[in-house]
Amino acid sequence: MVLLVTSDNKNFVVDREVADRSVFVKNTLEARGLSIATPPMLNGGCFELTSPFLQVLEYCQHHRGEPLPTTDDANADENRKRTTDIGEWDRKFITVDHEMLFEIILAANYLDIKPLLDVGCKTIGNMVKGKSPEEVRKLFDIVNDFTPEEEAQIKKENEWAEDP
Amino acid sequence: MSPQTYHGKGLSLSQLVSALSEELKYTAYSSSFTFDQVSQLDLDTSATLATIREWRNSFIPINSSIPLEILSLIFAYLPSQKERHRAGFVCRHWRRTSIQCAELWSELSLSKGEAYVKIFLERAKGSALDIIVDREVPVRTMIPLSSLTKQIRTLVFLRSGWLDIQKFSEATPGPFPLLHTLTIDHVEDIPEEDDMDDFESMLFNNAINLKVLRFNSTSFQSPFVLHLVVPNLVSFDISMVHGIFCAPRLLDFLEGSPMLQIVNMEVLAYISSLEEIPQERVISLPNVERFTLVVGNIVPGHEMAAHIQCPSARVTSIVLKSRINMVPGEIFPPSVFCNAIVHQYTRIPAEEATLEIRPGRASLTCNITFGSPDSTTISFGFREVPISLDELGGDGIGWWIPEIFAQATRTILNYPQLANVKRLHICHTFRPTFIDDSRFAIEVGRLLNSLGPLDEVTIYHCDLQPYLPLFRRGVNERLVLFPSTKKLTLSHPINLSEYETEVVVLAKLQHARGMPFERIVIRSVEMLEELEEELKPWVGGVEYRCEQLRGEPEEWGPR
Repeated sequence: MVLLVTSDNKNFVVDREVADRSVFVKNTLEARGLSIATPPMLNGGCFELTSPFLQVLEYCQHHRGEPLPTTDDANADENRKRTTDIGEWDRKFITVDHEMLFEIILAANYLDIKPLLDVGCKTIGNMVKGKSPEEVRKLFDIVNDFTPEEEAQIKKENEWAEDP
Repeated sequence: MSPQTYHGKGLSLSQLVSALSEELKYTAYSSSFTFDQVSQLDLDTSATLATIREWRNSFIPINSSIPLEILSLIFAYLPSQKERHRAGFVCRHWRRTSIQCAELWSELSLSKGEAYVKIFLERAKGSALDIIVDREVPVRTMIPLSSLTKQIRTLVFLRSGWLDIQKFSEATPGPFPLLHTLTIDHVEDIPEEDDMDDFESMLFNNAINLKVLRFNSTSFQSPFVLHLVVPNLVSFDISMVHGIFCAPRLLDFLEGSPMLQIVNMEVLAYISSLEEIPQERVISLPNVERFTLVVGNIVPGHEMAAHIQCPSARVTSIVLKSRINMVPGEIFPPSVFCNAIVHQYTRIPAEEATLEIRPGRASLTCNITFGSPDSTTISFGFREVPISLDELGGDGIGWWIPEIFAQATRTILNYPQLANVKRLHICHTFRPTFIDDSRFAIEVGRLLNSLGPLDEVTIYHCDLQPYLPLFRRGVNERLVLFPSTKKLTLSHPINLSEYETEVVVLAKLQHARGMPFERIVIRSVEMLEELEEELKPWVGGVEYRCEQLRGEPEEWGPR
């Protein structure tokens, strides 16, 4: 068992197998020979992790024991990116509001849980997929901030992009 | 205007905007301004407005909380180049992210023109490039690539002619040290061999790391093969439906690529010069794990496989694909080639034989697979693709099944390791009305009479008519004996209730011969309780599983 302490001093006791889904935690524990991982920090400050951390823990518990992706196969990495499929359980798990989705992605990135980061990025990718720039702006509450000159350039590039 | 400027004047943002608006109203339509000055003001205002909007966008959660490298990753997960580019049109922040992410610009189609190519290459920076060369791309579009050949990772020639490939090679002479995958699709214009004499340089110079070659063409002759040296090739995939395929060139080419692990060849084209290969010539591909050869019936080229040795092969498949509406005289390799292939592609004798015949509505497949204890399989197959069902008339391809079964039986009986076969599985998912019963029964009898003793016989989804009564009645007044078998499995026969008695008779016959089944397993959707009771005295054990078939018919059977 491993004790994980978040930056807001909440304690979580989890199986080592679950904790090891995070490469960050795994490496930290291995390097220090300890059973306690200290709170992750982000951007030089304490990162309020409890809420997304609970989600991340749920993910790690569900996927415990599954093989971890290796970093030495560039083609496998490329293929992983090319598929936008998300498993049934993962899809339900990641069906959260935008704010929580971003938090989970950040936590997955920081804790180095590549499969979860994949799920988060694919989820946003699937939201964007098939939408026009204007529809994407509406989705994320972004306004068009291009000047007319920039828009003209984009329109030209868009013609390339739209070509078969 | 920077925040410090208006802070210095003690103005809030809204006060500043109000002051500017008032100023604008006051000066509007003033004759002291020229057209150019007002136009400039318009431009400046647009730029300022864009800056303010950009500033606003920086507060939006997806822009404020997601770091650039993750936003790039999200773009990289978009399924197509078109989608990835479109993401850069959402706002300035996304555009900057997109342009800075070199990976997003690595896939480049030369057909989009010179300007496009230059911009893409500039944005791709030093990242690996995936290039698509379409038919008749002008040389000037290829030139920007000439200094970047070291970055090319994949190269696809789409609908290209030989001259397109030659033109590309001259414009971008290499080297190609990173080139991993080369795909050549549909080369139409084949030059005369004499035309190639002037072309001395090698194609894709120094592509020493080329691992995957896919070749879909109408010719496999010297122009291409002689100018391509790929010693580290791992996967070779060739499909030739039409045209001419030069068999000796193939052997030369394969011999030059000893690192191959996967060879997948579909050669329905005319195979030329097969007779020029000396019978004793056998090239060795020591690393090949999967070997597939699909040949057509114009010149059945099974024997090409006999000139190749793959001692590490785990999965070998030799298939005849026919496109005419009759069963060819030899749909499986003749025994002389079969012997050579078995010898050259297996290490341990096969213990398992599986015969599957699967007719579809307008197609038919037949596979004989031999499996060794080390999980190595070697299969001989037949794929029939008729032109249309109407041309076949009546019950369609069903009438061919006895002939195919006869040829399959002959192939199994001629199999050089037949004496080692301990398990036999038969699967055919077709309607009983298709079958010429007596002829089919004769073949079943011949097959089963030649085997044994066996550990296991499994009959999947079959009409039991040709399998069971013949052991009681014989065929053409000759007795047919079921081989000594430890375990008999009848899995989802299509007419079990009609042949319940015959199952019991078979069990009794085996018992009387002093070789009772140790176990009979029946899997069926029907629950026939009496059958189980009737069988018990004659066999070591009976297992009756009432279960539904799962999956599609194509998935049924020994998988």
